[in-house]
Amino acid sequence: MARLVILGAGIAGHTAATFAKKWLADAHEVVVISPNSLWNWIPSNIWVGVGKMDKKRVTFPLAPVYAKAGIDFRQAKALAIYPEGKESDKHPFVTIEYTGQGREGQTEALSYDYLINATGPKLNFGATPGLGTGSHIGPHTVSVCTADHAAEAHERLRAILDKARQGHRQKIVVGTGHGTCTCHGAAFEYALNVEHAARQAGVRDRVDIQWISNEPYPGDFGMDGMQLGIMGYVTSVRIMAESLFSERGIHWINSAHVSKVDAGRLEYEQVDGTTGEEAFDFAMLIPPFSGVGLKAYDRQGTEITDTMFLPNGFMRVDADYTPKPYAEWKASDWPVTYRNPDYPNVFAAGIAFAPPHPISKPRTSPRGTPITPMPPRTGMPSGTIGKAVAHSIVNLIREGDRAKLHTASMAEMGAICVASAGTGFQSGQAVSFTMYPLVKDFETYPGTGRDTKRTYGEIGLSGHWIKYILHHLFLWKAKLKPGWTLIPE
Amino acid sequence: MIKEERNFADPQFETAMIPGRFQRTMRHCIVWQLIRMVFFSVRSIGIIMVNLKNEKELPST
Ligand SMILES: Cc1cc2nc3c(=O)[nH]c(=O)nc-3n(C[C@H](O)[C@H](O)[C@H](O)COP(=O)(O)OP(=O)(O)OC[C@H]3O[C@@H](n4cnc5c(N)ncnc54)[C@H](O)[C@@H]3O)c2cc1C
Repeated sequence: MARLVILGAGIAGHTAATFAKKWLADAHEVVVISPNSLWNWIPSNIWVGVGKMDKKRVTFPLAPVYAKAGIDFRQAKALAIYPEGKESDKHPFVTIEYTGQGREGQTEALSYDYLINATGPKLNFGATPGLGTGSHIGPHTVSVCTADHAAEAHERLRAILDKARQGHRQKIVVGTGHGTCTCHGAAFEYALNVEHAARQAGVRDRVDIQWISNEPYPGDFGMDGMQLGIMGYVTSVRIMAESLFSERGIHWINSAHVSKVDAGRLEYEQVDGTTGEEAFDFAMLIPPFSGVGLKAYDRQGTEITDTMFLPNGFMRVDADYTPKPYAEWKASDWPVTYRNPDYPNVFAAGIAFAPPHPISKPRTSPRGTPITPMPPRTGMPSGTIGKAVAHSIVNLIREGDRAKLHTASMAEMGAICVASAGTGFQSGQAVSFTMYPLVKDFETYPGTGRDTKRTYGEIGLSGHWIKYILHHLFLWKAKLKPGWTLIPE
Repeated sequence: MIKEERNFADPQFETAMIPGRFQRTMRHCIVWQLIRMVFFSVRSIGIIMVNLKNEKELPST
């Protein structure tokens, strides 16, 4: 009986675990390690952050779902990987520290035959002075990255809207809190939802909303923008994003590295060297992401973290990590099987794998500050990669060296993204995008790097309905309710 | 000034496209939006199909 251990129960880890268990049934063991007892449909945190949903509607307890599926769930955080085992016992293992199940603080060594690292990002608030410490958010700003953060954001937003109602002019800043942030889509959605909430509260004229981002222009999204084929035209998503902001009176600051945050004030540096500051009454700034800080050791106990992980903490997989300039980036640099090159029974899925380089053009300020959006790995690729990796491991367990590995290259993968611009069955709106491929491929699509017949976007009420339906569909799927396998990633 | 001209008063907004009354109505017209939802769903199925098609199998060694 083989044991597959999966670190993380987010979109990638949960997808991998549930499919692996379905395919392996009781013949083999699937163990999931996650420090959080709840599963969170993170995309709907935006609605928690404006008070349209509460935490309960975007989360559910994992333990009963895993118990029913026959998956061994340990509420714990992984600390270190020993891919060669120890001198005394060569079986690879991970060390974990419990955070729940009545075993808080206890540590354990858990052996594995196959390992998937799906630990997602560390929310690296500590990278920007004043934004927070380590992975903990500070008191000056809010975030929507977790359901708890989003609930707190709503409380603070409500107070701001109340003050506006009393006639006090309020300033809201939304965007990214560092020059190397990703996840712009979430901040973009939140800016539009806050604007919608202010309008619904009847105080829009007393609230100034400012967007600040490390993107070169609104709509870059860490994807080097998109060229959309719309009604016979090919146009830049920049026009669409700027239009959405303009229509709503939201001003923007681009190419900005937020260098310091204080109570009610932030400082930034732009790629041309300009510095500035913004005062605010309320700010939601996405932190930069890094790996969660897993360590790795060889058989002798020597640290090999640098071999298994890049300096940013994300795990090395089958990508081409040779440093090269933007002009030489290729679709083939991107990983295909997500297998660690040194330890073939270790894989990474979702945000946890190390991309070979950004997708957007890297830029540096005259002072040497990198101001480059990092590549997003959104829900659809995270789930698709999780499933492909599970498939590969199931094949390896069943067929050994003759097994075939499944591919899920982001350079050969399309995505569907729906960015909410406000809720309401009749008053809601969202921007619905499809794009192909996620990573630009100038060899296949010399014009824009993407297929403009498949890369498309529009705004309207139907987008809101789609986002709402997806919320229910993905919670249904994650709870393994009847027909869950039919719902695509 | 009609709504779709409002952006020209602000230099940061002047290259944007502001929807006029017809566009704004269509964004919330239930019948039109149902049609758009079907259209977008078909596009999305196309993306899912291409992802499935592109998932290949490689030898493990
Ligand atoms: C506010 C917001 C809105 C978003 N909206 C969208 C959207 O509309 N559409 C979309 O496609 N994507 C969206 N995304 C992105 C999407 O949420 C991510 O792409 C996705 O969650 C990544 O999945 P993952 O499994 O890699 O990481 P995560 O979902 O973050 O999961 C990581 C898991 O690892 C666990 N973990 C952490 N540390 C350890 C450890 N040491 N040991 C074991 N386990 C650990 C965590 O508890 C968690 O269970 C949004 C993101 C945010 C923040």
